[in-house]
Amino acid sequence: MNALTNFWYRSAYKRAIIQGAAILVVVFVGLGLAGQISNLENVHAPTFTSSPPFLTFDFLNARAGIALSHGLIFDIDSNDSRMDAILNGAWNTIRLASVLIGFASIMGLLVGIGRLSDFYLIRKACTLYVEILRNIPALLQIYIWYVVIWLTTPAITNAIQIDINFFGLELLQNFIIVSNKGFAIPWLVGHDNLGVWLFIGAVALVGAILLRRYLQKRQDDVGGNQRTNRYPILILLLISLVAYILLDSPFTGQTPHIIRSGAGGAIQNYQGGMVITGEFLAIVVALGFYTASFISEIVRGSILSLPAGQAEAAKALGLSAYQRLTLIILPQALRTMIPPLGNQYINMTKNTSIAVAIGFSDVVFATRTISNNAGHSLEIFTTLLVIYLVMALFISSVMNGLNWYVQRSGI
Amino acid sequence: MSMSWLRRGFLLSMLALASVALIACSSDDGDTTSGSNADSAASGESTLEKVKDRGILKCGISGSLPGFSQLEADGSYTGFDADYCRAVAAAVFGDSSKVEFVETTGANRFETLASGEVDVLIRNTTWTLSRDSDLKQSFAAPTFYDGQGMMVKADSPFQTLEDMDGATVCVNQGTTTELNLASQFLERGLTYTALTFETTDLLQEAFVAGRCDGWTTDKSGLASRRGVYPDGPDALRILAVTMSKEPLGPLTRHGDDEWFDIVAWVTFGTFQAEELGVTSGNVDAQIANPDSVAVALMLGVGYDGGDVTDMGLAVGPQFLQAVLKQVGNYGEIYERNITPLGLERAGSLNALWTNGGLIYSPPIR
Repeated sequence: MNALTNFWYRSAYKRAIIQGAAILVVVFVGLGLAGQISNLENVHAPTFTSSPPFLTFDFLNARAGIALSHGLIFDIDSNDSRMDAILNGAWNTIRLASVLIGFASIMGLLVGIGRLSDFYLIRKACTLYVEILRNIPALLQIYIWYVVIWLTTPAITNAIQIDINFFGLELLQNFIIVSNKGFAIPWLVGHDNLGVWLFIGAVALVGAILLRRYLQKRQDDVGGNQRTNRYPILILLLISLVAYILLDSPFTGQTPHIIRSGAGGAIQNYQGGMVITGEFLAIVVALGFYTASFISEIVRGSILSLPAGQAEAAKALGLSAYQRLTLIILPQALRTMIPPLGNQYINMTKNTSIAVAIGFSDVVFATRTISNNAGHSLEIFTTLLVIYLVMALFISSVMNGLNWYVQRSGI
Repeated sequence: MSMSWLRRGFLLSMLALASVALIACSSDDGDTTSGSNADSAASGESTLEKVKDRGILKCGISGSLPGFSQLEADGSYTGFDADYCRAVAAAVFGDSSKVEFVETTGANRFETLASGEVDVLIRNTTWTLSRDSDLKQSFAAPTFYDGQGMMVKADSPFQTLEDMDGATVCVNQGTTTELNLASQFLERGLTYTALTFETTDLLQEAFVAGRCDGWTTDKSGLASRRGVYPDGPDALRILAVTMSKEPLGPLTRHGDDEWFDIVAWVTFGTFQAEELGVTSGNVDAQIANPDSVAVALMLGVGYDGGDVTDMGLAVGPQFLQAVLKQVGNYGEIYERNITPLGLERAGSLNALWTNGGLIYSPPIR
């Protein structure tokens, strides 16, 4: 062994050299990229003209000049700034992603369990679902849901109005209205006293929880049935009743109806209630079904990864199929399920960017329109990148937290 | 023993990677310098030299706008914009076929031009102040005066925008269309909902289904879609209102005035030729024996045995000869591409100034 090989065999040196080399690679690649970007800067700024500084975001403060549709809660009009338009688009994306995560999880759980069912028909139907939906591109599925299914519902001039009648009593007229403008459903409209109500509600809830804890402790210490659920619920109801008598209701239920405007009332729109647009719904259904096919495989895999003895022991104890699933199988399967589930949620959130294809005003739509009118695509794409990164990191951190909780507590 | 080989192999591959990265970086640096050289060439020195060295003109078009630029089944491009690309190539090379068409989208077109990927952008682009100054592009003469219109179903009662309060309007994404729509409705105190689509085909599906009350884009675009509407053109009506000024024309990068002049005067040349009655049919006869001094100056020939006047354009005094022979004058280009869309030229802004339109060329002398 000569000195050189001796040197290599000292792991401390070797590690230092390998890591040093890796850092060098990263630094040089980074420098190369920076060179490309400054090159781009040159493109934007020909040598002989004065040019705006590189990567400035001032233009985002200018008037957007566009209005975004599909808004809920926040609405912007064309006088708001470009940044407002982008944030409003981001809000639409977040709204879409949250609904999607809920929908796809439930759907995926059902199909995943269904694939392990003892019933031949359910098992095969779920297999068919997975194999068809996960193998068709998501964009195509969105098109199909939108064009073939959603756009073929009647136009608003022939809207389907569903009333609720009870033995001849016309309880709710226009409970739900369906047309290709979307679903209009009843919604609650908050009164001025909503804030007070929320405060009272919070206080009552905290009180009830504290009471339950106290009763629980007493039951443990003294024994006997201390009615740990009954009294807290009674207290909650009592406070609500007193508040209702004093303050009146915090909400009014509002049913949707159709209003007419324009020449000869030729234009019809929904008013009141909440409107879920067809575009929103088509994306939720299409992307939800699509992602659910992947989630169901995660669910199935996690369940199958448990030792068969768990289910058999539960069966031997006389637990019902439902009890076996909810008490024994799922809580354990959850441990292996959560990390890959987080991946699917992040994927799905990023996939919402194709929603723009059928006219949904998400963050991609807002940024694209603005870059079209104002240029500055490098800045716009940087903004878009940051927004998606924040969303993905948020989902990731929530899932990591959940994972930590499940691993630790072992529910 | 095998372990140590593995490690050595790993180490070696790391070193190899590092050196590759180093080489890549140094060549990157090379690129940066050559890039900025090319850039200063693009902006300060000569796009013309670059185009001549390459032997082909790179022209940015849309590629999917019937009448303006459309990819045909045989791989060629037809349309008004495509013909203007050919006209510039004819002026530079004397050969209108020396064009490489580069399809651009509404979103990437300005970057394509700014980065030097195309030499000239002829893609239904509206001349606006912010595009001229903020995006650093130079607009040559508008070749087509468009305006945003509103199309509705023929059996609807709408005659004006005021009739459309509360309407849902289908919009093509990625143009100034959305801005114009917003300000037109805002100024009139009307409410509306915009439903913005990426592709016109999907927009049409939604419109047919009655999802929208109106359909807005440039009037030329509306006319071309009306022509191919599934229920026939008579099922649709374009309102009289013009919501915006949309002067469309070729554009080049800021800074290369020589190149800008060529593109601008090729454009003006097609106007001037129509005004003087020079067409692809009679241009050879006019070259041999020009009708007037103006024709002789335009075609770069002597009048009545006189000398040729070179007005100093970098492509020589005869640049319009090939343009007119191979592509034709403005009227011919319009007739070939826009008339089939059903857009009447007479009485529109696109008529010659002598006929009450805006197509006007500064004198060529």
